Amino acid sequence: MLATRTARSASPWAVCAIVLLATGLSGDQFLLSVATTTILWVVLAGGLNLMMGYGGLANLGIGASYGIGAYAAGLVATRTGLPLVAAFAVAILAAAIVAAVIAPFVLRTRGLHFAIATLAIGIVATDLFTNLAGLTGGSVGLSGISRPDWLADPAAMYWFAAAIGFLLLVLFAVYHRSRMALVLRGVRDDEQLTRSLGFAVTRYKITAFVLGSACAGLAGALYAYFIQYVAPSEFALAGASFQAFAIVAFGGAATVWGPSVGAILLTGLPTFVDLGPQAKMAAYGLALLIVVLAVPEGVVPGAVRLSRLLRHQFRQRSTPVEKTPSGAETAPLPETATRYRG
Amino acid sequence: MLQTIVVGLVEGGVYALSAVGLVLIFSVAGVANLAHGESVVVGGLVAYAAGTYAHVPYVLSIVVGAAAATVLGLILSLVFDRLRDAAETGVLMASLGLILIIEAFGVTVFGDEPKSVPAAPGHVLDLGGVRIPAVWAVIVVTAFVLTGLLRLYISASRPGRAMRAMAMNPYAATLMGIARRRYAMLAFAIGSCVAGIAGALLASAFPIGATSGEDIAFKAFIVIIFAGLGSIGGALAGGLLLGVIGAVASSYIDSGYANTFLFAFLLIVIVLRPNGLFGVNVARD
Repeated sequence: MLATRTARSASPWAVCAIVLLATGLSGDQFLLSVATTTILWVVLAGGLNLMMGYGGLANLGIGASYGIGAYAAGLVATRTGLPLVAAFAVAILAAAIVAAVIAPFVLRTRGLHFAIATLAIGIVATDLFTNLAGLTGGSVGLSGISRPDWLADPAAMYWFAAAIGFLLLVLFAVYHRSRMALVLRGVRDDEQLTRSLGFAVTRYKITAFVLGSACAGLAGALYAYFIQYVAPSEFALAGASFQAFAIVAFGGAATVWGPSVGAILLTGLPTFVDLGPQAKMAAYGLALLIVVLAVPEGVVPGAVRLSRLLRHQFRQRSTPVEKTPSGAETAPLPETATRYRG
Repeated sequence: MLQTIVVGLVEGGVYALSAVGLVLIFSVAGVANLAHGESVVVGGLVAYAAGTYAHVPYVLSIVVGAAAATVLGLILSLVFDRLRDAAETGVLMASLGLILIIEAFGVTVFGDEPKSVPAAPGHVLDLGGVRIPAVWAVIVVTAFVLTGLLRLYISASRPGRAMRAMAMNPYAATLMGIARRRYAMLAFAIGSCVAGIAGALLASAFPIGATSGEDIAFKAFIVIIFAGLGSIGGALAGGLLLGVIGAVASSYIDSGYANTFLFAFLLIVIVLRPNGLFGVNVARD
């Protein structure tokens, strides 16, 4: 039993590693560029998941942190002779610092108000990217970001992004099991109760907000080096924040693999589908609607539930006599806290 | 300056009408309907189609637009009814999906370019140097009249009382024998109808595009949040205020920063007065 359990928890990692390796070894230029873009979304949506999935902080302005990261990396790359590591460090720090300054104020709001407040931050950020032309190049954008020699090749860029993405997934898995994630779930389900248990709720929320924003900053730096050109529209509401939100909610919030599956299904897959722009948009919308109606908790938790159900039925059929009383091993469904809506 | 304020009031009238419908839906059905802007757009585009292709008279085209928006509202209520127990993120995701579907449909049928309702009354009133097209005056007057009627309906009629009960406590309202689902649908129908009228009027004053729904929905959300959730009169005042602030900002500050100014204002209000400027003391989220 233990062996199968270990195998079960290790198998997604194996699949992930195989997919990453196979994509890289295929050497197909188009596939590589789609895969690199998808990894960007995994990083961005994974960052959003840290706050939105676990803490219920639906940040609709994550595009702001993404943009700050991209512009910071782009500026370091074009205006100074510093190496790539410095550009990435500056990008992550810039996004984290801005988030840390904003956090105490926006986190005074919750629920829908938080969503609207962060949405406003996202819009203000896009305005600033467009209008601070001296720094950002305005609507023309920031071009001429050159990659170092070892990263010049598209395949090298892919391997670089894949390594960062895989590393982040490991960190996400650690986060998933951390005490912090547990407290944040408590905050999401009942903030007052969690506070009454003595947890410094605000501090946890600020930390999650800053961590997620830093992750978005990292995604921005990756973007700047991948596309080698940074323009404001890429970080606007429709372009970045909503997409990241949809990926998290679609794939499964508060799961390790949700953002990855969501990114593959919503950003990777559509590039291979041959439909007109309007039909594609409608199909995307329809997919969101179907998932939210059929499996509100997202694709990954839905699939996990389905497989448990099937396994349970299979086991019952193979050993019909031995009906064990519900133990931890055979429990078909995880205990989930029911949401109290007063 | 006066002219600017008038322009702001006209835009604000449209925001106010959208927000009034949204606040009704939000408080009665308990749904953050981000797809509300689509009702405005559908109202405008259907009114345009009725006027252009069926050559119906102006007033009738507005009625047709409002009717189409009402039908859309009923469809939306059916979708959201199934998400009653879903988390907020689920509602947002469903809204997002609906927006994309409706916009894709709208662009396919009407194309990319913004459209105007034809045969809108063209004369211009001249009030002491301020030139006001008659349509503009109609928008502002309609905003006041419809809001007034809606308030009267909500406060004095029996269905209105049922809807108020649901806004206060849906669970208790159900226990008192209020058909929750039916009144949620009614709120969606009325809210979308008002939005459709707003859209038809907007399209007779300024061109309206198939993809302008998102922007209108954001503005409407901003209005109801800084006006305070649950207040219909507040939504009217907030809408007009937002319109005026926006118009003044874009003509006196660098127009690129107009949005920044508006949203910075919103952020300050949200952070300092979470219950809104005209706060009704209800729960924050």
